[in-house]
Amino acid sequence: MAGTHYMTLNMGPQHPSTHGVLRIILELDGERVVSAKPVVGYLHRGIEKLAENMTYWQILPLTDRLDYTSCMSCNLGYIWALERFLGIEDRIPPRAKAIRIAMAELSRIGGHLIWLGSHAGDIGAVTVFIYAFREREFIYELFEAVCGQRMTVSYPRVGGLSQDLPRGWIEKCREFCNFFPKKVDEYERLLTNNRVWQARTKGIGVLTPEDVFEWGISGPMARGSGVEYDLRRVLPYAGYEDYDFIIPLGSHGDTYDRYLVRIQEMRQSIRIIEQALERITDGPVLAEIPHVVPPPKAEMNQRIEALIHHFHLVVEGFDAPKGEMYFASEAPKGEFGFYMISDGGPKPHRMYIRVPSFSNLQSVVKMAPGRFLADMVTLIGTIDICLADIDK
Amino acid sequence: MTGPVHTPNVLVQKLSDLFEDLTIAQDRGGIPILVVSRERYVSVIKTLRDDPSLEFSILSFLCGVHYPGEAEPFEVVVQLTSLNLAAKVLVKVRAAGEPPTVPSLAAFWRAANWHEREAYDMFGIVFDGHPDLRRIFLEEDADFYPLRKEYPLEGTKD
Repeated sequence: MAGTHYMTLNMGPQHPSTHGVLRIILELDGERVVSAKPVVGYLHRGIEKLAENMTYWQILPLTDRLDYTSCMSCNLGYIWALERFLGIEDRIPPRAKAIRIAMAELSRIGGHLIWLGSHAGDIGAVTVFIYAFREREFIYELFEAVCGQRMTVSYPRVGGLSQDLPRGWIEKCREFCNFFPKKVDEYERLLTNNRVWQARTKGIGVLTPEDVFEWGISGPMARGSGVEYDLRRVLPYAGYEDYDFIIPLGSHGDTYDRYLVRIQEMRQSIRIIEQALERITDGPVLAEIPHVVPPPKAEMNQRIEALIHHFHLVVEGFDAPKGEMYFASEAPKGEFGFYMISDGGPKPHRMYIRVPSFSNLQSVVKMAPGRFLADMVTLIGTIDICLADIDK
Repeated sequence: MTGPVHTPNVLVQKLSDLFEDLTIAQDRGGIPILVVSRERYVSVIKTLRDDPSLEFSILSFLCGVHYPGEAEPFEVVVQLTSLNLAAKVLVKVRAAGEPPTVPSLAAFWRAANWHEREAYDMFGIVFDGHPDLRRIFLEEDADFYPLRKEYPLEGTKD
């Protein structure tokens, strides 16, 4: 055969393992991948443009459309950023703070469960998919109980939470904390020592710590390579500095280590939730900060001034101080941040959203060459991408 | 985290000593902001990354900003993270000319590749030296830059 003949193959945008609409242009030498070029943008909705044309309140429901596998984390990431921007961080009631931490960690477990189920399912272990979605359902019921929504929750508010916990919620959440570690044992029994699972994940998609820096990787992807990059510890926010948890780290930086890291993270999240539940004291869940937080509903029904105040806040929004700020939180997939610029008005001049999957996905360019075509499914799965997150 | 937690003020002092001719502001959360000229841009970034006392080794993001009405309306904002210092820093540079141009960082971090493509796609900022400057979210033949302020929210076509 004269010359080298590579075959170009389009994977996606509708491939079932791409979890959304991702297209990867593969150059193949037989079964071997020579190069992989991801093509993104099929889900671009212009969230940053929309945000520039909305008041700070109205932006909240846009954020849970970013990473829809962990909406609560996205909402909280935005609210934490906004509160720091407004300088009202330390006026949040302790009850609301503790509930938020519990919600963020429940959301992390929910996000990791979707990753585990679909990743294992892609590789062929469909049982794990069914198991993972069983427990995820319990988490979504907990979310539904507090705000009526399973996915697009929009539960937190500037200054606290939209509503208090319903009766019996803490007990139900405790029940989850009690039984969930046993379920993680179940997943591990199916996968951790499974020879097929190990053969499909060990040594696949190796990223060194240098690669992590080179590609701007964050979250469990970075920690799987042994880089201790967890914003809850590096730049603590929202009270995480008072919680006791360890950051699981991998050593080989391959798909198997990233699997172990995420499994351990779910166990650590349970520890954090248990501590948070202990700290849910009696008290209000919404701060009294009149220029940004509307008055309580009961007061609005009684006093015309309160009603007018509410009307003004909803219709006109509140003016944010002039300035700029970047704030990042640790979402299930990595560094999730907001870079906001305000010109002093009720709408941001610019709101750049730093999404974790965007940088993480780029590393597939590094991981794919030399692997088999069948490993592409593993590589996409191990990044734990969410295309709505990438395309904004 | 093993490294010491630097309060932003300590870091600002350190950066002022290192870059004597730059004024270092802070954002509302305390992150230092370095406003640099296009000529200094690459060397400042290089120092931030390679200086052993700083080691801002992660490029967390790079984005564009539009300030219509100003002499050089397009700005590029780079955010770097140092795990050793447990700190972040913002570097800002204005793009010049038509099309607005700044040097590319793609040779320093592979991560910059997509971020610069995004800024190009959304604002039309050209990154000099970028190996593959194409649109990333929008279709190749789009003739507009949606995050420019003059572009209407509803779009220009139906």
